Amino acid sequence: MSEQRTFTRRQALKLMGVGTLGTYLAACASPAAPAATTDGSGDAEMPAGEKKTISISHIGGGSLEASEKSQRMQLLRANFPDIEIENRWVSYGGYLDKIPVQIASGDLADLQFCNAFNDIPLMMENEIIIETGPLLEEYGQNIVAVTPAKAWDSTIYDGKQYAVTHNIYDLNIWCSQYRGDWLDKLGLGVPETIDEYGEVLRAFSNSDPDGNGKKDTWGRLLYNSVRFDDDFFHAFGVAVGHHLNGFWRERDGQLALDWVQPGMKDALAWMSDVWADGGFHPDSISIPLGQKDNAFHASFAGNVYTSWNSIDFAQDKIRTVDPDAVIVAGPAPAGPGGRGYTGEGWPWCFVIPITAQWPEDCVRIIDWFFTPDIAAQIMCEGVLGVTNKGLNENGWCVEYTPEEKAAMGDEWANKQNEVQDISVFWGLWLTIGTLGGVQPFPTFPPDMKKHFEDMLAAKYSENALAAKDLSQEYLLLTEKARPVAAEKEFWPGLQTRFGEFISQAVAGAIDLDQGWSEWLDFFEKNGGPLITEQVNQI
Amino acid sequence: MVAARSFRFRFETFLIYLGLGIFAFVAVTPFLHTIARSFSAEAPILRGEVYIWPVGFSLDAYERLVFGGTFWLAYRNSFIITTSATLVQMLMTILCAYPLSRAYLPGRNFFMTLIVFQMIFPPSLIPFYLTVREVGLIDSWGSLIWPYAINTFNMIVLKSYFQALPKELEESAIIDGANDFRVLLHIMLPLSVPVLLTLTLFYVVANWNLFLPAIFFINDGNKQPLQVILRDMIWSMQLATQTASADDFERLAGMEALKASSVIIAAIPMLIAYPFFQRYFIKGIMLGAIKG
Repeated sequence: MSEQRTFTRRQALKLMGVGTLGTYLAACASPAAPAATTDGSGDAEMPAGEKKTISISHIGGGSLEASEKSQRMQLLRANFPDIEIENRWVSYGGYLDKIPVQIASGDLADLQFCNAFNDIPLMMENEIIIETGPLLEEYGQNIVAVTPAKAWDSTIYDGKQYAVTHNIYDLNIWCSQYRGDWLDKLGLGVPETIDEYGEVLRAFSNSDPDGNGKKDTWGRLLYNSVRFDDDFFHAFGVAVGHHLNGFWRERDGQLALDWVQPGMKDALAWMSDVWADGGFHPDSISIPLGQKDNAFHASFAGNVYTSWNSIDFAQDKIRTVDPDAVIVAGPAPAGPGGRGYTGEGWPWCFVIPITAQWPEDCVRIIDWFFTPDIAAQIMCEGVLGVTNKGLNENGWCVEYTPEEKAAMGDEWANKQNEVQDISVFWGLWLTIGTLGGVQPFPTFPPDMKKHFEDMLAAKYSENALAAKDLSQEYLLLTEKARPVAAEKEFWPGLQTRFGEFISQAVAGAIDLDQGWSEWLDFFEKNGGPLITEQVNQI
Repeated sequence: MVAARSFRFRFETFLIYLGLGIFAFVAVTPFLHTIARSFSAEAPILRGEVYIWPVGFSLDAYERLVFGGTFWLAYRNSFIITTSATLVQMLMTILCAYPLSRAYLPGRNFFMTLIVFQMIFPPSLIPFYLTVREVGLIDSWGSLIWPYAINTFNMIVLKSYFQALPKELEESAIIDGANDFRVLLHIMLPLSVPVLLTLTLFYVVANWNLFLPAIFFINDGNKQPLQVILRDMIWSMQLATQTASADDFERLAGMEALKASSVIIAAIPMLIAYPFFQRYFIKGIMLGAIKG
């Protein structure tokens, strides 16, 4: 009689099957209930001997480690020894993908970086962030003192404020820039009117401004497939809005979207004419975001609409191809509808979720960065003592001038490489920004203010500073304060349809009259009136 | 007659080679273009002068990558994640596929229905994220390994392969006293090398290209895999063009070549792996598919 086996083949197979089933069931199990949360009405009691913990989610630095090395993070930790700062660094790309999941799951940091236009409507819908108005009044007076009043508008819901802070660094920095040397060669001046502007684009494309005998230059490469070209749209009294986000202005006592105004049709007709004459580079209709400056830098486009403070860099870059290149900024071209450059406003902000245990401390932390003495240490570009000069005898940061950087040669490049990871938004993304795009605070004492104004003046060329003035002089902002509920359902469809329509209209792929009529019809039947109604109810 | 047939045969062969040649050209050209960009100076790239041969030969981009901040860290991370995850996945896939391939497993159809059901209706992102968070895997490489321990499609391929092997081999081993583990280890697996290597390749490629799970589950930049770092580099550049920080702009110099060289360096391990697996890849996938 054979010996009985204690562990049979059948038993082993059963075990494997049951194990597999168990694994699958475990993976499919419903999650545990979320942790208990506070109502955000005030700080919780702190057990004796324990430190408070505040998490901060931000996009500064190329990694968590780099963020930890930054001056901002080290200052923060040193100044708040009673608080354990949990650094929840996230890359910008990661933030974009992750924030919808965080909002849906309620998994936000105590101080959560976000976009007022894209993210806060979702947060409000999910009721996961707290009102900050009373907290700002009590603990955030430094923030309030330096933030433009209009910046807060996008995070007010039902008369209550929901952001701790908005970016005060200036995104209203756009202006039209030209190859001054090409204008001189062609005997043209910087255009003042939309007609002159059209002539310049045509001449840049068709009159061989670089004098090489080839037809290899263009007037302009449009920015991100006609999603960023408001400089000449404003000449017709309308704008597309950056990132195709729309532009609203008051008409007959009501806010109305520019996309359905007659001026839009006029603007498209003008663009279509210039397109037919070769004034725009043919890649304009499909150019992805971030590529449009390439044509300007590579010296085959003579005009670009971009930020004023890139002008010196652009000139240096173009001179690697054409040593005689000169970049000059111009005013917004004037037309029958006026003139203007679109500003992007103040979209970036920090909010506090309902799960935050110490909301008062959250506001205190951000407010501390806005005190003049601290802001004066951190508002310079560069990493302290490496890619800037460090602090002066007053404790204010000092940048290298362009001449000093040039004199350093390879040493400057090495310094940049050394701290390139920390340099991404200076290791801790703050709404303060850096000197490149921000003015000294109005709360700065006069001598401190002068220090930074002088530094700003030394940092840029005369042409760049003139461009800065132009970008401010012609600045226009959309009058719609924030997204409305109907946008969630209807706006993506309207955006897609309008983007399609204007691309086809500019390239002459459709009959403009028919396309315009179909677009208006689409707007009427796909939520346009409802969005307009809600925008006017804010 | 023979001559005519020969001519026709040669003409058809010529057409086949021509078609394949065009296909190969279309497939390879973007890759050659990327290689050319990675070795080119910035100005010719911006002017659109680079096609499939470098213009203004430069190694700057590769130097910056090699001596740059997080790139090699990310490379190492990807290597560790790929190796660990593939080992776990192959082990779990084998252990799941073998019992399910045996007709005498009680409830086999029930188990298969469950498995196929979740393949057709996978869990949605938010509950999945919450589950990973609740079991404490956030910010750990475990979050990129354990939730993905079995790919259902791969498991079914392997199960089909096991089923197709002659039963007599297993029966003779059992008569000789082998238990199920010995049958699996010494009979089934040695006979399944082509499909095992094919599935390994599937897993390796998927793990090497891991992206969204890392975005969702990993916060610490020092733990991010290569693909995430590459995407971050591109995003940083685009963001810098909007925020227009002067120093950011200086760092952007040479970014186009840097992007191209990143792609090339990221692709190298897969380019090396494919030729070794190719022979088994074709054989393995065909057998699994036909005999399913």
